[in-house]
Amino acid sequence: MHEVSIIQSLIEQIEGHMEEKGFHKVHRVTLDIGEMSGVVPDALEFAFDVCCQRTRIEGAKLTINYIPVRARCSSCNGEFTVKGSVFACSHCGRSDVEVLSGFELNLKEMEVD
Amino acid sequence: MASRVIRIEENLLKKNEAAASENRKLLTQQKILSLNLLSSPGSGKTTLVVKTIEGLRSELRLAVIEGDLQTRFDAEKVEAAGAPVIQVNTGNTCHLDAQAINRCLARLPLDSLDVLLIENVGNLVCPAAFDLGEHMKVVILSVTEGEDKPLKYPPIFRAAEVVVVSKVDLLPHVDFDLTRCRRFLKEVAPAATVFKLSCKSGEGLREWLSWIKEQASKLGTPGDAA
Repeated sequence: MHEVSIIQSLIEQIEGHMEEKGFHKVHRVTLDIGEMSGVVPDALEFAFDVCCQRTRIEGAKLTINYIPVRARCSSCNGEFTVKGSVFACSHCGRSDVEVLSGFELNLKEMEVD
Repeated sequence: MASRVIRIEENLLKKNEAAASENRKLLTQQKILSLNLLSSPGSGKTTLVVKTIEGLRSELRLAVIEGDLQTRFDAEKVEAAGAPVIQVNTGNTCHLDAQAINRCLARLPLDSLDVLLIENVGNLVCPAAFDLGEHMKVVILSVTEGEDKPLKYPPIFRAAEVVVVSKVDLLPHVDFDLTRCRRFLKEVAPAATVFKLSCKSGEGLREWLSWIKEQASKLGTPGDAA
């Protein structure tokens, strides 16, 4: 449900970059969205289509990179993909882990003119 | 001119993040322990807030920010318990954001506060994404909801420093498996401190209140209302 607020904030950010960097057309917007970011990619796409209407970004395509949750174990140093929300190390079972990815909510890049 | 790709690498919640760090800086400078209380609707957040005020008001100065889509019902209950409260009605928005908290902080007597409780909008999904600038996130899970919530809503539980299992007086009447719940919490949020309490019977409240006092004193709060 908060996907709309996130897209509204994205549009403001893009418009800011347009002003700042002096481009007039956005062809594509690429986002990095982590699996644990709490947003639904489909809902973001829907919100993007709706919110971009009658803005300078209207017509831009949205690409979403959905990033899996990866973590590194602080005990054995092994890296693993977190599956089913289980953050324990898949190698040694310890739960003291450092999360490496999966919480992203980023504007990665834009294709512009 | 041919189109070109420009790299940005910027958080989509940049504005929220900036407001959140400003809030956190201010709250830390003022030595005000701030807790963001998160849960689904009906888990007993407001009752816990009221019990917390009643239990600590002789020792600590508390204030509350109440987030709800509509009404001042919760704010009235909190006021009756004797703490200043600011009600934020979000309209149709499903979460509080850091800018809203920023505006509230401007209206609170920060020089004479030790603890700020922020009762977020009842929702286990959206509020997880919005850092408010709090010191800790506390997720409340009532035993009437089912023990599988931590695995069903992992982002919010993963973000929690504290989990409060509430309404434990109802355990004999519901099919809530506390052992499974603890196991699930260990999988999603192994570092979280877990409390189990009942505002009705009072079980576990003392531990919760002592924990708040301890956290407040860690921040350097004077610890008395004088």
